[in-house]
Amino acid sequence: MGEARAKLLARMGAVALATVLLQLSLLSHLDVAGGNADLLPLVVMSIGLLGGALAGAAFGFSIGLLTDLALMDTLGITSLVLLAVGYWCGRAREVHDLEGPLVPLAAGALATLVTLIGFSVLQFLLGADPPLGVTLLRQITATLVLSALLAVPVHWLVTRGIGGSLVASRPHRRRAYTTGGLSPLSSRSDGPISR
Amino acid sequence: MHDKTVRRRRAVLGLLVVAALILLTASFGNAGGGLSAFQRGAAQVLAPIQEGASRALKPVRDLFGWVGETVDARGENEELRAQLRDARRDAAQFESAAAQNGDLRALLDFSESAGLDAWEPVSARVITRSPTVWSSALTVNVGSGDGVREGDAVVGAASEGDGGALVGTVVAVTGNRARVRVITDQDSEVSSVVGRTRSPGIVTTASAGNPRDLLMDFVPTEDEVEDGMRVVTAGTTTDESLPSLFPPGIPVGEITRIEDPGSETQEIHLEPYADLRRLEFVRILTGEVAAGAGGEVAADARADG
Repeated sequence: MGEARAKLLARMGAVALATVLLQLSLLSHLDVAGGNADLLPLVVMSIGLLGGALAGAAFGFSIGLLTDLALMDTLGITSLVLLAVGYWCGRAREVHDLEGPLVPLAAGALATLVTLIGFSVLQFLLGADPPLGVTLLRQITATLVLSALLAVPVHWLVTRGIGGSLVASRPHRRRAYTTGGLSPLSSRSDGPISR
Repeated sequence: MHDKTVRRRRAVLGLLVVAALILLTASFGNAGGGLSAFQRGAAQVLAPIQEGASRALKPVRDLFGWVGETVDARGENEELRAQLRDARRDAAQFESAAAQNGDLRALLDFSESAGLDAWEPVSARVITRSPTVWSSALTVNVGSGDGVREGDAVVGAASEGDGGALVGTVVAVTGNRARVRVITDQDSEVSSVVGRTRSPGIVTTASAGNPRDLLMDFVPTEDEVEDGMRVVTAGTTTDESLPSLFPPGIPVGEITRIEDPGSETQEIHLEPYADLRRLEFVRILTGEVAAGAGGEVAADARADG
């Protein structure tokens, strides 16, 4: 393991720990319109968008495990949900090459929604009585709105913090299909053909 | 290379999913086993960090809580203000109802004690009041359909809340409404006597629109009248063969001052007993006074047609 990789892992660990502490010690206490902002899926989303599917899934699993440990909750639930979130965010970045200022906002809202639904479904499957009805709907709506609002600044912070290292360590994306240089147009540029 | 990457990705993903499911299953089914011990150990390690973070972030939580409480308090304040408005409205309605009840009870007691029941009193609610000082008139919610006719005497609650007093006369009637000319109206004249001396006179308004000042004219100058004496309806007119519009003995007012006493120009001022500004209910005496009976009731007359 190279030094850069170790540094990256240490940074990601620090981000995970800071996120869990911030979430459990602050954001979970701040009730806004019946819900709380959920930082975990946002950070996982951000790591997925920056580092790809593997990084997103691994980070989601790790931060979920850390959360469950900190909460002394049933292990594996949060890990399972967040690894799915991280993986799909990473895949979305890899396949669709998403760019633009609104991507974190949409991805954050979607990640939060998937987390909320996934967590509810798992809890339901494990036999918990879900708070169905208006309460749950209001909580999901409020959390969704708050998280969507936080998505852009969170993504900006994660990008500033570890984004560069993640992108550098990211495996090269597949090159787009080309004609193998047979076209005279392709000879004007050394980079990949713009799509 | 690409296939290798894909295979690696899938393997890691599968590994993570399996690990999560194993953790979930083990954690869910094994309450006191090794995993639980690991979890407790991890929690023990994390506890001081969490506590430190919790303490460090407490001011932020407090700030947010303060903001939230302020917003809540503002909302609660609005709610309490609305409740206070409702309570005040209810209290006002209650007080009004209590006052009306008191007036009605006083009127009923007065009718009974003054022997006015023989005049077939009809209770009525005051629905309008003349807005000008030029005429002092009320409209009540009973009319000819209730047996009210022009000339009927009207009594109301006394301002002291004790008994009743003369209010005026019915001057116009429709099927369900009647107009009452109040004794402070410029055109009102009431044949009265000073209660103790039996000195006769005519009570008129002292100044138009002043509900607290009446004048008693044509009192014999040799009669000794004083402040504080009660003035009641005479029950007769100057022509004793003609009945008054008013039954005898209804309180009209109390002498408040006498200007030029004993002279031809003496003016006897009264303050009416009835609180003419705040009347809510009145009773209209629909019975008739028999001609020449000097105020005796002929309540049967109407029944006889």
